[in-house]
Amino acid sequence: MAANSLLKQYSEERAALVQNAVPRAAAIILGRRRVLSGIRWRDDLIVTAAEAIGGAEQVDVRLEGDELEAQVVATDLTTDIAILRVGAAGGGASTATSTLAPTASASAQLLRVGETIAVVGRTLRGPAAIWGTVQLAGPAWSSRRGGKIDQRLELDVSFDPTFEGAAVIDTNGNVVAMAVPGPYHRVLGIPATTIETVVAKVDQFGHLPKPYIGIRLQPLWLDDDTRTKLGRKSRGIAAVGGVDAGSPADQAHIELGDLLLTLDSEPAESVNGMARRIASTTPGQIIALEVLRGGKPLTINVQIGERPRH
Amino acid sequence: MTLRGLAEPSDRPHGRGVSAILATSDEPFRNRVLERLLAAGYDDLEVAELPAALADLLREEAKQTLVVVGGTWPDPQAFLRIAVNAGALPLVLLESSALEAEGEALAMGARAALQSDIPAAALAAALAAVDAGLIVLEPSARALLLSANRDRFSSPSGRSDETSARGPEATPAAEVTPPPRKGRPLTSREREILGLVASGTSNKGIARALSVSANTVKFHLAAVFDKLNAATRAEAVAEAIRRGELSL
Repeated sequence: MAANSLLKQYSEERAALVQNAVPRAAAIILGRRRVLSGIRWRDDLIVTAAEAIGGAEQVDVRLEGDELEAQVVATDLTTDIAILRVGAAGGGASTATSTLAPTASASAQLLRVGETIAVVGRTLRGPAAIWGTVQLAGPAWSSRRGGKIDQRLELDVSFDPTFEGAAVIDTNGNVVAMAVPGPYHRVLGIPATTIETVVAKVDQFGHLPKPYIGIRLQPLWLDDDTRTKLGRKSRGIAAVGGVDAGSPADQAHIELGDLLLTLDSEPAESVNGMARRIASTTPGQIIALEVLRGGKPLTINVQIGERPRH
Repeated sequence: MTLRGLAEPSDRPHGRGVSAILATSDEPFRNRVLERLLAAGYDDLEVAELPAALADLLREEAKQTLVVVGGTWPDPQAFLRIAVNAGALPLVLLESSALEAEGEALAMGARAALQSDIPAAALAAALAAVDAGLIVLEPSARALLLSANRDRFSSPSGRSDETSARGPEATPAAEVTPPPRKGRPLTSREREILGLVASGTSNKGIARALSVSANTVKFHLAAVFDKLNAATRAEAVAEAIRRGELSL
C-alpha cells in the first residue's frame, strides 16, 4: 500500500491537530480517585468544569511535564465554568511559566452541526483525545441556573468523566469549547466565547461577582379574574417573601408582599424566570422592577449588587 | 344517581341556603362522606356520580354551590373541573395525604383540600368556611405555602428527572411546571452556607467565614443536598431559590 495513502494522511492530520492542542490540556487532580481535564487558557489560567471542582479551594494541576498547585479563582455554577490560577511554584523554565498565546478562538466563530471536533484532555497517564461530531449547534441559550451561553452545543463523542472540562478543538486546531456532561448523558460544549466572557470578568474584578438583589421569592397563583385584570398571560406570579437587611432590594425599599410584575418592562413570570434574569445581570447595573403593592403598580429601580462572600 | 330530600331541610350551618352536592363515583367514599355530611347538618344532599350528571346538576343554580368532590386522586379531577367551571365552591376530600394532590386540587380551583377521614365537626366548619368565601387547608398543607412550591400546581409533568442531571440545562420555551415537592425547610445555618455556595465560595472559605471546620461545612451541605433533593451545588442553589429559601 502506498505510503501516502489517503487514510494515512487523514490519520496523520488528525494526530497532528491533537498534538498541537496537547500543551493546552491539563489534568486537574481533585483527590486520589478523581481526575478531570482542564484547558490551559492563558499563561497561568486554567479553565475547567465548575461542578466537578465542587467546593475545592486548591487543586493540583498536571501540565506537560509539570505538576503544580492551582488556586480556584472563580466558579460559575450557572455556566459550569471554573477558573484556576497556577502558582509560580513550578519554577525555572517549565512550560507553566513559558508564555502561551491566548486561546485563539474567542473570535466568536460559531460551530456548525455536523462539524468534526476532537476533545483533548489529560489523565495522570498522559494526554487523551477522542474524535466526534457536533451533534447539535443551536442558538444562544440560558441555562436553568441563569447562565448566558453563547451557543447550544451538543457533542457526539464517547465521553468519560476524565474528559469533563477538556478542550474541544475544531479542524483548524482552535479551542472552540469546553466539554461538560449535560442532562440525559448528553455532552455539552461550553463555547470559548462564553469562557472568555467569564475570564474577562475575573480579570476585571479579581473574582467572579455574583449578581444579587437580596429578595426571596414565593410563587403565588392568580385566579382568572385577577390575572385578566392585571393583563398577565401566566397564572403564576412571584411574591416577595423576604428582603435581606441592607441588601440592594432593602435600600430600594422593596417590601415584603410586593408582587413582581415586570423586570425592565418584560413580564416577570415565575420565580425561576426571575432567578435566571437576575443571574444574567452584572453588579452595578440598574434594573427597573415593577411591583404590585396594595393593588397599585409601582416601579422601583434597584442597583444590582454582589452576593456576599462571607 | 341523585338523592334528594334525605330529611327535611332544617337549620343548615351554611349561609346561602344552598345544598351541598356530593360528587363521586367511588361508592365506599360516598357512603362515608355522606354519613359525615349528614352528621354535620347537611341533610339536603345531592349525590352526583358522573361528570355529566354533575354538569346537569350545576347548570341551573351552580353559582356558589358547595360541591364536595372526593375519592382517590386523580379520579375526582373531572368533577372538580366541572364544578369550578360552573362557578361552584368545590371542597375536595382526598383519600391520600399527598401534598401533590392537595396542590393540584387547589390549583384547579378547589376552595378546600382536606383528608376524607376528616371528623364531621371539622367538615361542617370547613363547609361553613368555604361558604363564607375562605379557603381551607389541612395543617400539613402549610408546606405547600411555606416551602414555596412555586409555579407548580397547574400542570404536573415529569421534568424532575432532568433537574437531577449534571451541567447547565436548556430553558424550555414554555415553562413546564413539575409537581410540587415536599420539603423540609433549611436551617438558618444551612441557608447561610448555601448562600456562600451561591457566591462561589469554596468549602474552606465557608469554613473560615463561619469559623467552623471544613468537615462541618460538608456535613451541613450533605443535609442541604438531601433536603433539596439536589445532586450538585448548582442544583441545590437553584432549588433553594425556587423554594424561597435563598435570596436572589
